Amino acid sequence: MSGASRRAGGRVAYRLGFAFGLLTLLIALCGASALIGALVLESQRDRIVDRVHPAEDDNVRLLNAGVSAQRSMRGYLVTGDRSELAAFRGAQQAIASITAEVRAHDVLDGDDLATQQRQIEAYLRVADEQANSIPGSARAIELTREASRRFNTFEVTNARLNDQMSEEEKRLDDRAETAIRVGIAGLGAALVAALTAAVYTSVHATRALTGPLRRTEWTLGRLTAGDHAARAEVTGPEEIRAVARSVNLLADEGDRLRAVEQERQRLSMGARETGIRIRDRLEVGYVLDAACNGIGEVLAADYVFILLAEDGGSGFPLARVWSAERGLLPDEERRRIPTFPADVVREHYRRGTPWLVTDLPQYVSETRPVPGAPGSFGKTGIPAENRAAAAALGLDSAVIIPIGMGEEPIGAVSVARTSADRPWRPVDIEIAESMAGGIGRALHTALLYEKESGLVDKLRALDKAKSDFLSTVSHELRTPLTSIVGYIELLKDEDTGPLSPSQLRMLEVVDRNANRLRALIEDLLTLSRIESGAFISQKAPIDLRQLVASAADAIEPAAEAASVRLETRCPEQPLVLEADGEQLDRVLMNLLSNAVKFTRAGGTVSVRADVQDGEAVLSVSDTGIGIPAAEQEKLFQRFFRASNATEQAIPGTGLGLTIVHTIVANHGGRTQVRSEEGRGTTITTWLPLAGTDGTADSA
Amino acid sequence: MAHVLIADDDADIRDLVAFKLTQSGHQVTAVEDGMAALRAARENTVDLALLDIRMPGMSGLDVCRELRATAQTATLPVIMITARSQEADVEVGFAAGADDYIIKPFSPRELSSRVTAVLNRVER
Repeated sequence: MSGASRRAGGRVAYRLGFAFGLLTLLIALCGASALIGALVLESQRDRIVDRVHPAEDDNVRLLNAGVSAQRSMRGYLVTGDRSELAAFRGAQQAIASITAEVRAHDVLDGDDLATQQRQIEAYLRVADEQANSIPGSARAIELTREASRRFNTFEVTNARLNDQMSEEEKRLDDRAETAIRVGIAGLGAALVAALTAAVYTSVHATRALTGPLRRTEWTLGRLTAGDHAARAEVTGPEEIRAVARSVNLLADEGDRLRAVEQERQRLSMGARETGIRIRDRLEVGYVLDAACNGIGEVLAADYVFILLAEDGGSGFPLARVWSAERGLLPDEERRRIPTFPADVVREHYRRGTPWLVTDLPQYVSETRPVPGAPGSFGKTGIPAENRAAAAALGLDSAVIIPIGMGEEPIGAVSVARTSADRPWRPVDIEIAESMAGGIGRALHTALLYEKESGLVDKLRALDKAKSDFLSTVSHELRTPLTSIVGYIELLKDEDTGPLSPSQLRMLEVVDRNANRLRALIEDLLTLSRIESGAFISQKAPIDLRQLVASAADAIEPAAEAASVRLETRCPEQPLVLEADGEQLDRVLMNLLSNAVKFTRAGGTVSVRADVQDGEAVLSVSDTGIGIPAAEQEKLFQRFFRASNATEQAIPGTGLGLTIVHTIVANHGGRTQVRSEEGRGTTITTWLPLAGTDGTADSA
Repeated sequence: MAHVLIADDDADIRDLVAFKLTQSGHQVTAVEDGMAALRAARENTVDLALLDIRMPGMSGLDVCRELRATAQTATLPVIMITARSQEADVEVGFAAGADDYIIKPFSPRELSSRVTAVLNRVER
């Protein structure tokens, strides 16, 4: 803290209290001085009115009484009338009482008063002798001279006393005036002092408050604007310093929370990356490897253990062990590390929460239940082999999270640290839990996938075996069939000599059935090839109209032989398909031969090719025996033959339409059958035109 | 007329072919495997060879390649007999140097006319 801020320190409340106290004191002083001045003035006035003025009056009365006494004495001395002496006697008495009164006022000096009294009494004594003398006598004249001289002395003293009293009055007046002046000056000074104190205090307090307050406010503004490094200067009065400290504390707390949040974000980012990586491939081994590396690095673990349910067993062996120093441990080393008892994993999975175990070393030396641990760990403690393993690896703390889907656990993920200096923070545990969840899901998916792909491989192998078998069987059937049909032909051609009509008829039956067998074998072989997908490889742009024309040419002899009229209708413009020509030819041949086969003499078979809604439409109609409505939906099933065809012993394999359907489907098309028994059948197929699926331009 | 060599491991088919071709006026030598076929083609003056593709030991395709590789038999007409009708097999047959092919089961009449056709083509 700087010297300036220390000087500016102290509580505003103290300072304001002090200032107001001072002000109050000054105002009280003003009041007191005014009061004292007034009292002083009052006492001066009182003295003048109550003492000095009566004393002056009495002094004058004394002089008057003296003058009166002298005058009456003169009258007697002049007239000799003794009655004149009555006034003298009255004055003489008055003088005695007045003298006492003057003294009672206590204004004049006692000595001076005594002198005056002595002088007036000295006169009166002389006057008494005058009264007793005979007027006009020498004695009287001498006494008169004496009396006059004494009276004059008295008069001088009396005048002097009068002057003294005037002076006293003047002095008192002056003193009152001074008191007033001093009082006013004091009051003014006090007022000025009070005003100065008030102004100084207010200015100073305002300055002491506003500066630091403004700085603190500025700091708050910086903080809210995102400058997290900004801190308020702890300066100014105590209250403002407290506010600044609070602002700084808040900022520090904000920094701390932000740091926690940043750490969480960093961990989340790592967790997310790991999550993405472990989903890269659907192999359990890969998921385990990626999970170990990912969770170990993201959470800065010293060891990672992943337990995975054994295939077909009830235990949870260690599937991977990862060490920060050495990466994934080799299999044989891993197998030496004991896994958790199965009941612990199961109980843990039922709980579904991470289990944090700290202070592992304290459980290592002896078996005792671990508080809060799942299964037997919590009841009877960690088994000796696990304790030994934990001690050997130097584990200090671990977070163990169960993983699984549905009812059963598929294992557990454990991250461990060897140093007590780095305990697991709540954010670590949170991230560990979320990562373990991702690992669990990835493992679950990978396990399912491995199971499924194993199944798929098996099914594929089975399918191939079936195709191979079918193909082999067909081939093997052909060789004997070659001999059969070959020799039948030789016999029928009578190459070996003439045949009787019944022999020829029987040979016809054998021949027909051999041919039927041959057709069946061909269809079976075709179907097996189409279904195994071997046929689809020869796609090229092809004009459907050409296919129709050549198929019609091929079937024409058979139609003619059966007395069936064949008509074709194709559009002017080409109908280009991206297709396997041989397969489509097969479709057309199957449809046309069926149509001819099931149509009686005089009937008509018509082939139409056209474009409809951007698709090629190929339909083959006949006026044949039709298909019973109830059987139409089974028509594409292998070996299915319509009941009216078998009843009439029309030969067929029951594979022709299946082949058509499969080829059309392989080309992304669809097939529809419309038939009415006894009236005829129309089979329509829709096929995508070339270019519509972006594979080829129209040729 | 012509001397035709037939190689097939199936005796019945050998007999069938031999019977039909003999009847058509050809001289027929029938053998049961590839090695014998190769020997017969080199030792005799054969005008045409009918080779079954699938034979134990040396296949018809191997025999055909061998025949083409030897100057003496390089121009000998060859018809492959196959139980497979896949284009791939036919292509392999032509690539090996075959002049024609016929698929089992075949008609003896058809076989005979194909033999005649190939021989005519060669003569011309």
